[in-house]
Amino acid sequence: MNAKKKILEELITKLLGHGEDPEEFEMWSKIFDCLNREQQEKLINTLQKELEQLQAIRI
Amino acid sequence: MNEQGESFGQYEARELESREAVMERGALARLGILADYLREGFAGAYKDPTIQKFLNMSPVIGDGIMGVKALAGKEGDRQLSVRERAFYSIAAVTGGAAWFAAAKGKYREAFVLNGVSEMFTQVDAWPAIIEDQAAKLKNQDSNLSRTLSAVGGWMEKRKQDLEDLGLLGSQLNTLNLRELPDER
Repeated sequence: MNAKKKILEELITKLLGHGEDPEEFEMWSKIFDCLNREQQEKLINTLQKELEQLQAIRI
Repeated sequence: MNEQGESFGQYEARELESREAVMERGALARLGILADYLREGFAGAYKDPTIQKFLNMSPVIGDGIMGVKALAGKEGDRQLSVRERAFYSIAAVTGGAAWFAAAKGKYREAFVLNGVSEMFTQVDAWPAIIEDQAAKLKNQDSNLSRTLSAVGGWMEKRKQDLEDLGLLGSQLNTLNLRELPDER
């Protein structure tokens, strides 16, 4: 597993813990390697931002 | 009461609403990434002008679906979440592109909008059509093939939502789809 895919999987695990949709994230995990570098980075940045925002919410 | 004068129940409700809003913004951003990927992938794999014409419409498809739902009054009692809109949009763009690929030559470019109406009456068939296109593209573009399989698998798991989408077919036939913008 390459570094970016590992980051993706870690983010997905954490986001699922916050109640994200497991079926949608299963799809993203499957197609991640098919995306170009820019799309992969955009996806990771989007997930990181979402995780930070969810962690900032206390409930 | 907290510092804002809220009861715990009010505080809890506000925080839960914030969580949903954050997740909806995330779903919308992801939709954009996938839609761009599918547009590029289909445009590269298929030179058929009918598919190109359909893909040019894809940015407005999600809004179009919601507009038809509103007109039909089907979702009149509640606002669809961004997450639901994202699913509907991805399903429609992927299913539609696969539909036109499968129906190659049946629709001429000028009549693509008629084809959109027809394809919405047969959404139950989309996962199988997508899987068929994925198999055909396996040697030509393995990444697009794998992506189609993954999106098709997701749609298969949300059959109920697809069935809801299928009810739009008869409504679409009553609308003048030619009034929808067809350029990005």
